[in-house]
Amino acid sequence: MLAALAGIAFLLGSWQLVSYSNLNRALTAKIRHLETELGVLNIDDPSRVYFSTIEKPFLPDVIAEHVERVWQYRYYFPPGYEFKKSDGAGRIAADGFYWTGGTSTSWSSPSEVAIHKRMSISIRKNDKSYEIFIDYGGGTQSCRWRPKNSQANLDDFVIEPVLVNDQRDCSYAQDEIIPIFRIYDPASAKEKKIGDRKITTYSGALAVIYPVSQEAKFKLLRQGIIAEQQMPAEDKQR
Amino acid sequence: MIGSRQNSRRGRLRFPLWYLIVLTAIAAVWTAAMVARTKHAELATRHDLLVKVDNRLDVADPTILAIASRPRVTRDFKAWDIYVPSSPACELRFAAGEMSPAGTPQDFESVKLSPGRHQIILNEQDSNGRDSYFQCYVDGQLKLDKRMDAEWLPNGWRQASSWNLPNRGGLRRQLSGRRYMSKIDFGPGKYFNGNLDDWSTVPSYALWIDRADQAPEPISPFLEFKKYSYWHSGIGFRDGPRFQRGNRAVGLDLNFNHPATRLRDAALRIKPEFLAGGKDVLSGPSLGTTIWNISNAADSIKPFKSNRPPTIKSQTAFLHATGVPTGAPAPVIELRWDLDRPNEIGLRLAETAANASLTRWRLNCPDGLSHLWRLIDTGDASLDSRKIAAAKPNDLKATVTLTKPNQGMHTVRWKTDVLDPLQVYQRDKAFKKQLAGISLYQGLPVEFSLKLPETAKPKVWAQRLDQIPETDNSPIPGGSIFSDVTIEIDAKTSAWIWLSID
Repeated sequence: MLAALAGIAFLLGSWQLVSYSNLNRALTAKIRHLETELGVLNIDDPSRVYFSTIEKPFLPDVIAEHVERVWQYRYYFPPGYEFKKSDGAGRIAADGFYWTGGTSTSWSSPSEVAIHKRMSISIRKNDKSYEIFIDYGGGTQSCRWRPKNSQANLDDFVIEPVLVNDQRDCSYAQDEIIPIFRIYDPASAKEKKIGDRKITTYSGALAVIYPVSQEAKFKLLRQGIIAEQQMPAEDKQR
Repeated sequence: MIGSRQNSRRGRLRFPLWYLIVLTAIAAVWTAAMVARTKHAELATRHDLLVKVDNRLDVADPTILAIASRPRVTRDFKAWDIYVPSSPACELRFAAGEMSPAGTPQDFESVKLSPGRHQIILNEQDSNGRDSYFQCYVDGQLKLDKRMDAEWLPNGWRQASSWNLPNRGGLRRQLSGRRYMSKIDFGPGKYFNGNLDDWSTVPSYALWIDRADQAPEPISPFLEFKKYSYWHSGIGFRDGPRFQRGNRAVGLDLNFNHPATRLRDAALRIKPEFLAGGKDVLSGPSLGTTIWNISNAADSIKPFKSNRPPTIKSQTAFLHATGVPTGAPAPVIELRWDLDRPNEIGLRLAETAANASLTRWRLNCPDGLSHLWRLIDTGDASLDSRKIAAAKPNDLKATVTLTKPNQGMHTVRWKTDVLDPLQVYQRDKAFKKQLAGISLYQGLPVEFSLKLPETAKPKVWAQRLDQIPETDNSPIPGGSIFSDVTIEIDAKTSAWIWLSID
């Protein structure tokens, strides 16, 4: 009797082990497949904002014909993160947030839960202007930039999406202003004097996310009244 | 005794070695299973998060249509992954043109969708002020290509909003749809801000999946509507004049609107007065709590319920005054919409006992200052408030002489002399200060008219206003206006009065 019970317990345990092992193998394969496409986003500190590069962007051929460049990222916004999205074209600096020209700004109420989504940034040419389009996996923003030099092409411009060059991921504190996208024509440099400071400005476009708590500071940075935000290197890139 | 107890204890602790091996094996296998189970929970959470991050198509039940929208890469392309079950047969449908959100588009193009997974991409070229076209790709192949002609949105659009087809159960799922408020050109710098009506027929498009055997339901030209609040509800034509409980509907005011005014609030307010033996029997401050209830019958206040087939040619509704002071009559007004008169509402006192004591009925239109009414026309004769002010400065009441009736009906029309929308006029710096806070009508230019049956022995008069009230005799910019237009008719007539908002 005891032997029979022991046998049943062993068989049940083995069946559970084999079942879960099979399920885990299948799930691990699916996760690997998804992470190959979406990249890995390690969130060490759930109170910070994270971005990571998606190596294989979603870009069907039908759409690919109509865009010049595409970048896609996974992003994580912590619960309660209250921010505004702003974008527009005009005169901008190579670093920081000096920015003149028309901008559009949007705000949405902060989410009680963390947001994990895909962000897509694209540039397409429309006649003589470029349309910069950003999709946050729901809300979108877009602006048009018309470079002075209509003969130039994208390779002649400096383009900096949220993760530049070979950077695979980055994180920001919740009170930092995040440059989501920057494009400018380096050949359009002009010196601008604001108070005692000299700023080199360029024709370009900028898209940023800034925390609502930093709105006043962002306004001063935009106007060049206070020095550009200096971010500690360890904060900007992990 | 002691030795025997010790022997027995030793006996209880004794067991064969294989027991231990078996127990260890069972414990090991269950521990491993529990670890695998915990790991499974972690992996499932991670997997769900990844699927959610990317909004992947999740086919939980292969018998149900599943749709997942894919990331937007550019402004004018939208993409979806869909799963089509093997039954019923489905098709992708697209319609663009003048459409009402109240029903399914009557004219559409379609493409069959085979069971299984598909990717659908829509190229939505509705660029403001340019030629519009829509292209729909299924699995990378162009399947639907709709070019809109220039008349569709000749000046482009001022406002667009997404909408969903009514889903009356079943399989229908909309992928995308937009309604456009066309731009009207009033000249340089003269822009008009209006509201896109939620029910009327406007330039629109829709892309949806439907059962292949599902025919579009006919759309009724009549509607009951409700939005935001009780006060934004009413009844009338989908694309014509409607009775509406507007914001200002306090007491027994009758509010009328027309979607073409692009105004959510009422365009015309009428204060009715009910007379018996020359005395207004229903007036006073207590009327603030009185409201009109809409019903199907003259002798029942049961709320209006539509059971009309979509093919009917006319519709009537009854307005019952409810909450009237004790002892006062509770009038019932009958409203009528007739497809032969697409721009008019018929009004009359219903033939019911509640109206038996009434002898005359007065319709006072009091918002002349808001509309800047200056012109009244009766066909053969016309009145201009500024000319009357110059000729008879002390005579503030102008009698409107009705001219010879046409087919038994007199007509009276009234409007402002300002050709641009009053909001454009209001923005003009020259007038802005002079308007001294007058709240102007914000809709598109409009003319009101009433056709009055000769048998009702109508009388019409207008009240003139030369200065802005509650100011230090500030003249009204542009000259005197008619602040009120009042019509009085016999309460015993069963003939209809026809109100039009053009």
